Amino acid sequence: MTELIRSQMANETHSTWSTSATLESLSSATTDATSLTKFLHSAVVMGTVAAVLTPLPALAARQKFGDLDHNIPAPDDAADPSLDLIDEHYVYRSAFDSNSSVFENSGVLFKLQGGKITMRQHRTLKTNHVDSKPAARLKPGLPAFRTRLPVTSASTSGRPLCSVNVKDLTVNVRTPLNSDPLVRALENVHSLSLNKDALTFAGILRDLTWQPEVWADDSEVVFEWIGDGRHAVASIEGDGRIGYTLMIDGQFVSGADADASVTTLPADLKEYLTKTA
Amino acid sequence: MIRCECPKEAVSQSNFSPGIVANDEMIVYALVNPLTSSVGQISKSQLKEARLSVCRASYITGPSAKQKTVDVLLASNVTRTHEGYLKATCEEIRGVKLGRSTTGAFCVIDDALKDYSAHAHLGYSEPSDPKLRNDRETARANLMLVFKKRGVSTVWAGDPFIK
Repeated sequence: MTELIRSQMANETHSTWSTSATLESLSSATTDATSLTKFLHSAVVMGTVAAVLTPLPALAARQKFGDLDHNIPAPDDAADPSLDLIDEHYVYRSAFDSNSSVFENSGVLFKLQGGKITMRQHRTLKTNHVDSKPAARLKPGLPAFRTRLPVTSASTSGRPLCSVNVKDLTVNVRTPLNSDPLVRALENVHSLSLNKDALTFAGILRDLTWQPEVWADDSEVVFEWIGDGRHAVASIEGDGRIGYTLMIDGQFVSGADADASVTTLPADLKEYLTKTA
Repeated sequence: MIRCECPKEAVSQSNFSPGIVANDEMIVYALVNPLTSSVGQISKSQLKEARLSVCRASYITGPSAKQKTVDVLLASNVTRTHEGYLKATCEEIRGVKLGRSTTGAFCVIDDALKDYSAHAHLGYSEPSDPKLRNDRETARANLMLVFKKRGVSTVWAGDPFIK
């Protein structure tokens, strides 16, 4: 069992880390993230970030992750990834009370289709305490991975301590992990609600043949479809709604649904995006 | 002409200003990747705060305009690149309507700085009703069409920059 862990500090108040692992034999896995948590935490606390960022071939640190095998392929193996599909993204959000604190968590889950997948996670948070683990029992068709933040001793303010970006989960290992436009767009978005809404809306766009460009700043995420004579823009600001506009006859006109939710593709936008050019 | 949706347009906002922005002035919007180069990347948050910086081309030389708009942004981040500029008359910008109404969607407000008298701000007009979300999205997209009508220019020359 081997595992790759890369960790880096973004600045004094934000730590950013990512993990990349190839999972095998996931169908009956049970998990215990304690060792990973301790490892990450000690790496950050002890200032060993540089060591953790050692180039990939040297990252052969072995980490037991419950009875789940983590196998980081050597570069040669990585060049020929005979990996199966991950077929869906999910967005989840959970909140729980502990010591009068409420933690919110957002992320992406995906289904496991085959027996071997590559996953990569990247998140930014305002605490050094991180925890990640695969779901307790993994079966084809069920979420294969999830993350959560542990309750910490500092969590007494009654407000979420962390802004979490869970992303970088790829749907196809043959595509470089960082090539997902949404992942790139969300790189600098720190708003939990904005991330969540963007991921939710992206989820309902998955089946569209015409996929949008995505761009973002810290206050909005924009999905933009630009084609021959057609151009549509949908903007998300993290309040659960979208604003959208469609180009018709060379001018943009407002979408018909003035209160559209990120959970639904408005009918006129859907028709616009799916009609034959 | 005073527009109810843009009360600040009627009053000069700075002692350094050459005056309120006239309809026949050419407004320049600098393109600096990745900040402003993509089709839709006019910052909504800046529009909401009426703080989207633009340049009044009649009151500055071409090289100075580049220095004040582009070079400043490039100097603060080496990964940024200069991709030219877009331009539109103030009348065209003010002519972008909010939805099907006759209300202007944008205000063009003089906001001269001590060493940059040609500085101005673009912003959404009032009121800021959440129900107008789609209309504002539409207005922003149409604003880009207005700016793109003359294409991207790359020559920063002239005194004044653009008359």
